[in-house]
Amino acid sequence: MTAETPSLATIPPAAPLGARSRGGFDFSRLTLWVVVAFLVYQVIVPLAFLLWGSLKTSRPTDDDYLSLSLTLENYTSALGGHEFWEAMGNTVIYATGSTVLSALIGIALAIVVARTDAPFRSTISTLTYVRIIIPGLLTAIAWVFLGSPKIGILNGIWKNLTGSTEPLFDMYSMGGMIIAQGLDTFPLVFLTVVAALKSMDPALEEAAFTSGKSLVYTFRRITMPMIQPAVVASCILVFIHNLESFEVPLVLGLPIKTFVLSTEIFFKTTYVPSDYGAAGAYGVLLLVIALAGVYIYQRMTRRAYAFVTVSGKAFRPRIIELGKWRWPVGLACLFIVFVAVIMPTLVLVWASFMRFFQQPSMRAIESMSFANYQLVFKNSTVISGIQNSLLLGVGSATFVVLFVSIISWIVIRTKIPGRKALDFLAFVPQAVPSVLFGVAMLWLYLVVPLPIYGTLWVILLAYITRYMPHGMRIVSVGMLQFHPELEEAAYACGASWWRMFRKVLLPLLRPVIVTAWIWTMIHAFRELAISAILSGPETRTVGVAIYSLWTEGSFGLISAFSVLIILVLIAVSFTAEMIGRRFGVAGVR
Amino acid sequence: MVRLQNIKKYFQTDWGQVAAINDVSLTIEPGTLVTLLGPSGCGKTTTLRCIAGLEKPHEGIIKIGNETVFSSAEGIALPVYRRRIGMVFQSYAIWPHMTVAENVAFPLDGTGLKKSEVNRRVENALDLVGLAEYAKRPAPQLSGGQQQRVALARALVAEPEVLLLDEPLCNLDAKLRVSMRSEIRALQQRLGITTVYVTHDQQEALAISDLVVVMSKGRIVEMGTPAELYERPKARFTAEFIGTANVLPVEGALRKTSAGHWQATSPVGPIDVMNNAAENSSGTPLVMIRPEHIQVSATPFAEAGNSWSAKLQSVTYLGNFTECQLNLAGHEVTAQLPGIAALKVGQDVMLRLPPDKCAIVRDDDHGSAVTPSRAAQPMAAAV
Ligand SMILES: Nc1ncnc2c1ncn2[C@@H]1O[C@H](COP(=O)(O)OP(=O)(O)OP(=O)(O)O)[C@@H](O)[C@H]1O
Ligand SMILES: [Mg+2]
Repeated sequence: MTAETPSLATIPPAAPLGARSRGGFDFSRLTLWVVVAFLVYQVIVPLAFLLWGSLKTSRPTDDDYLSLSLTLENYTSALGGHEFWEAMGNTVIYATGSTVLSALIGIALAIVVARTDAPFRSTISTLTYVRIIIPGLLTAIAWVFLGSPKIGILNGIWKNLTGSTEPLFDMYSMGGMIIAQGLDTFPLVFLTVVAALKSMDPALEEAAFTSGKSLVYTFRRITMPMIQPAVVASCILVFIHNLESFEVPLVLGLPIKTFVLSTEIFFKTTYVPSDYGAAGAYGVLLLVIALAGVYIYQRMTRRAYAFVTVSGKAFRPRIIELGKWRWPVGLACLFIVFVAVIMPTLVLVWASFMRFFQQPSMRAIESMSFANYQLVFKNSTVISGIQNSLLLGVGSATFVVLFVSIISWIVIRTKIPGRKALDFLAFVPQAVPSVLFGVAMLWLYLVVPLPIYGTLWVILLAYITRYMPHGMRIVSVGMLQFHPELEEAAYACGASWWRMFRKVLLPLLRPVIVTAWIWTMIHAFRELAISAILSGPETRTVGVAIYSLWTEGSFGLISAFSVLIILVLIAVSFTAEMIGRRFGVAGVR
Repeated sequence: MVRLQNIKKYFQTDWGQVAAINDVSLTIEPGTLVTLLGPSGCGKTTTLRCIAGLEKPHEGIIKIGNETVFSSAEGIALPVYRRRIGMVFQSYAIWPHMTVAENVAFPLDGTGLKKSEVNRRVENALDLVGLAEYAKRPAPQLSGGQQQRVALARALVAEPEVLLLDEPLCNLDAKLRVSMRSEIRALQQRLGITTVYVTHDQQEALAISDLVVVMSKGRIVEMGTPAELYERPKARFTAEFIGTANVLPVEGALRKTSAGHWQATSPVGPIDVMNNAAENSSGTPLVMIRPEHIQVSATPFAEAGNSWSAKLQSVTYLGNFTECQLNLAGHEVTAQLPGIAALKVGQDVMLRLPPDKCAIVRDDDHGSAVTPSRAAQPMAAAV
């Protein structure tokens, strides 16, 4: 060992940032400052521009935009007019309704899957997982095919069966929006509750039984309170998600002029006559609600961790024997996932074989063809969308995992002051609705003289910020599972910080990094809200391509494209799952 | 009283069916403390959970008090909450979302007792375990030993018919374990409550039990009072699992020489043995003697018989005694001598096995309690 090489003893846990490199130059400190600067630029600067824009009546391209003449006019006119309050009311009803629906379905399915002997449990799990993968825009469209009062297949069947001329239900309604979104987000609740139920020591329930308490009483007094923090936390997360949700209100709300804040902001920004000031004011007000949600969420998760110690211990879950209720319960749950996952997928498959959308009939079946699938690959909108989205997906996923690995390491392993702030900064974008972030980036690059406005770069930068929080969660949980001595051993062998990072940490983290990469890739690939605002004619993404085909009424083409996307995404994520599991055996879990 | 009759319990695993309990019958007298003792995986926990009703046996009858709580033949399986039991879990299972007092009061909730009566009983129970001033504390803020006491108070508060304890001390440090076990024993005696105690620690079992039940591979090997099992075990498994045992093979049949004396022919010659608890049982007989009972001397012994010359192979001073390894006609024997022994390695010494301390044990197909690698040296200690 050379003199500069740190030994175990010279790296106290409170060392500012790991070890110095051999040259004596402190790369780790440089890394830290680069990370902090980038984070501030990516998170704080756009939000500052949003706030600035909301205090301006002029536009970013105007000369006096950067002058200090600020005004509250946008806020007063927003809060004074009924347009804002209507959108606000819709947003609250929509987000609350769909969150409640998600919670009911998610919790019920989780209990059945994690704790009972009902049949179809693994099918239900798998389909729920598939539901996460299918882009929300596609299911929103599928719900039109199913539940539109005119062309909806379910309504057609209803009219045929009853002879009624009235549709059974109308997806173009607040109720329809809530159903579509609720069925979209229940998997989030499901996964959290299943995890909470599985990580709970069954002895906690058994102790209640041996205290003379029945199954139902135990469930109410022990199980529910134990999983409650996890349940509430996941509901808040889903609520924030629904608050900013864009696809469903766009597809199902727009035709009936039911706007929520996210769609209102979108139209105020992109449609003529645009009203940037009002969009900014709406955005800041929406952000305040979302931030409050994130604040509560963080407090809840801290409490959740106080209960559920991450011991890594695998418990043998206690299975409730349902007896004669086994089959009814299993079938009921299967029905729910059928409605949420299979039915929308099937209707897209059906439509993909039709030149013109039609109700199922013998004649329709005879007219089935692969024509749409051939057209997909000739359509330039589709092709360039795929190219752009692939570039964006790979680019943002790669950058996000690298970046969050460094931030996680700083937050978890070092004691440097300000690491909490770093953690918070990296989490803030979770609270920023996509539409809003798109608007913020738009204004930023209209002003900043970097020539990236209208290119893929601006979308890429936006995606990096947008997907950082989730990547951060995945990677930091993985990192928490390693003993710091694994890293210290590398220093003791004379490795510099960068060498340790590349040779020890990254390989150890490979399974979580693969998971985070795939997650980001999938989400970036199908993103709509940000790209709807930032895309130019040359930089259309898959989401934008689908939406523009939708507004043109190319139903068959969209359906074929959707089916292909769904198949590819399922294949990709199941392969990733398998890779993760294989590494998992040797590595993390 | 608890009575188990011919209990069988299987588990389905990836590699087929395993019998966790294979035909276990046991009667636990009222007011006694019975330990289930055995190596890991022998079915202790499963037996306890069958009594509690947390597992359902495939066959057999279980009675608690006068009530049949389980009977495969009659199709009776009382749910856990209807059996009047109190249980302490290995992980304590203290509910983290409740205070200490709420944890302890839980068994009394919803039973129709008056609030004041519940409070009184909770106070009593906490007093009993010495945690009175911790009542208002959130449960997660307790130390391991304190959680252990809360679990005990919770198990006792509803005055159950039987108290079930599954390795209650195994998460505590050595000192605390010793003091807690005498507290548990004192408490059990004071309340006179029928108790089943699971442990794999033989010292713990000897220290607190009225009756020790030695288990191996899902069966009961032997049961008896601590002294019986230590001094006059019937099975080689028991001898080696509880304490340290030297065993010497017996060639040919045992011969009864006079009242209370048997002669065993061993490779070193005939041994006079005064204990033969397993007189009528099958299995290969062996002569067993505890290391502390072997006498070693540089000069011949005054008493005749059971005395041979042996080579001293090693001497290890261990504080309260000195351990000697001796070679007796090709067999390794361990002896523990009080104090410091003035003996030299390599020396020829005289060795004597007092007949009243020798016991015949039987080796049946349960095999040795020691792991194969250690079983390779037959005389080595199983601790
Ligand atoms: N739920 C289960 N599923 C499958 N096998 C089980 C189950 N519970 C116990 N077993 C098996 O049954 C046997 C007895 O287990 P048990 O838990 O009763 O052992 P034990 O004597 O309590 O051991 P330990 O001292 O390690 O706690 C073991 O082989 C164990 O692997
Ligand atoms: Mg056990």
